[in-house]
Amino acid sequence: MDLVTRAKWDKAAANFDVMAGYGPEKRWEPYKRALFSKMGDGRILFLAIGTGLDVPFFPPGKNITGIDISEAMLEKARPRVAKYDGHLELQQMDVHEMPFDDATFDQVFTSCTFCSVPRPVEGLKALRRVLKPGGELHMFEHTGSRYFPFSLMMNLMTPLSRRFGPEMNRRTVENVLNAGFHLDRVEHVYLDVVKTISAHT
Amino acid sequence: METRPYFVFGDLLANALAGSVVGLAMAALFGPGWNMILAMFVGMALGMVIAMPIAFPLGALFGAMEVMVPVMTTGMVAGMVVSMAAAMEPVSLIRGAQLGLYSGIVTLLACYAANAWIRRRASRWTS
Repeated sequence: MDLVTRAKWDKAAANFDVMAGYGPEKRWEPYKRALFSKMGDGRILFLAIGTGLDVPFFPPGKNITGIDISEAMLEKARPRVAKYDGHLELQQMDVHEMPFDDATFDQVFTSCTFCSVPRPVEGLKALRRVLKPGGELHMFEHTGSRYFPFSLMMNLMTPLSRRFGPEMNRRTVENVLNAGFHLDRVEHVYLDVVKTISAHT
Repeated sequence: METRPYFVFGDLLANALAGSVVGLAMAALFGPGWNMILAMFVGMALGMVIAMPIAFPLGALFGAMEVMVPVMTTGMVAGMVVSMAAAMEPVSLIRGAQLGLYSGIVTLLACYAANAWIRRRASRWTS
């Protein structure tokens, strides 16, 4: 397990909901609900479930496995998970070392995850491995921008932001393609920075 | 474009506040002794640095990237405008804050326009 990343998020867990729990969640709620409405009846992997802020947006009755590298994050998630009207189990693990068999899941969902995974293409390849043939990847992510001055600012901020949490200049759509997924749709939520990405194996 | 009143208010508040604070600081730091081009670049950089701690707490209330990106841009624009103005002629602190506030509102409107334009563009691209 990546102990540096785990320690970073264990430390961030204490104040995570203060920073992310109100404004960002309220602002993104309609888009996240729309994305999560694509959850089907098969087995679903939710990567980096964090403190479970997204759990209230999940449609009921789904079969979801939520994983996160940080036990402190998962501890905060448990009360939200307990309220979910469906099957939702939590497991602590690193995306790079998932013990699941190949082709285990029908769908994978992520939410503001690949701004933080240290080796994003390898992480996405690991997701492709555990997805069934034709399995779907649905992501809600923030990325870098291709437009000045936003691109400049996000590049300047990243060395600072990565110390406490996410990177601001990831090229996640490109990473999805580099990991071997077939892109279905990219929808921009805010500028070209916040977006939903749908792809399949 | 954001239409929910709470978030529109938050965007206005964040950018007006960041612009005013940056404008005030630039009026205090720069004066007619500065080379205007040098003042512009230093003002842009300082403006972004000053805007950053304003963006984080307001982002927790009103949205992460939707607050941080315009507020940082406001810091850069207000830093540039007020530092250049102060390099040309003396600018009072109140006038600096006022110029910064205007810069913040104009920057926010520009970000709204950029958002509408980008979101309308074809969705299949990589970044």
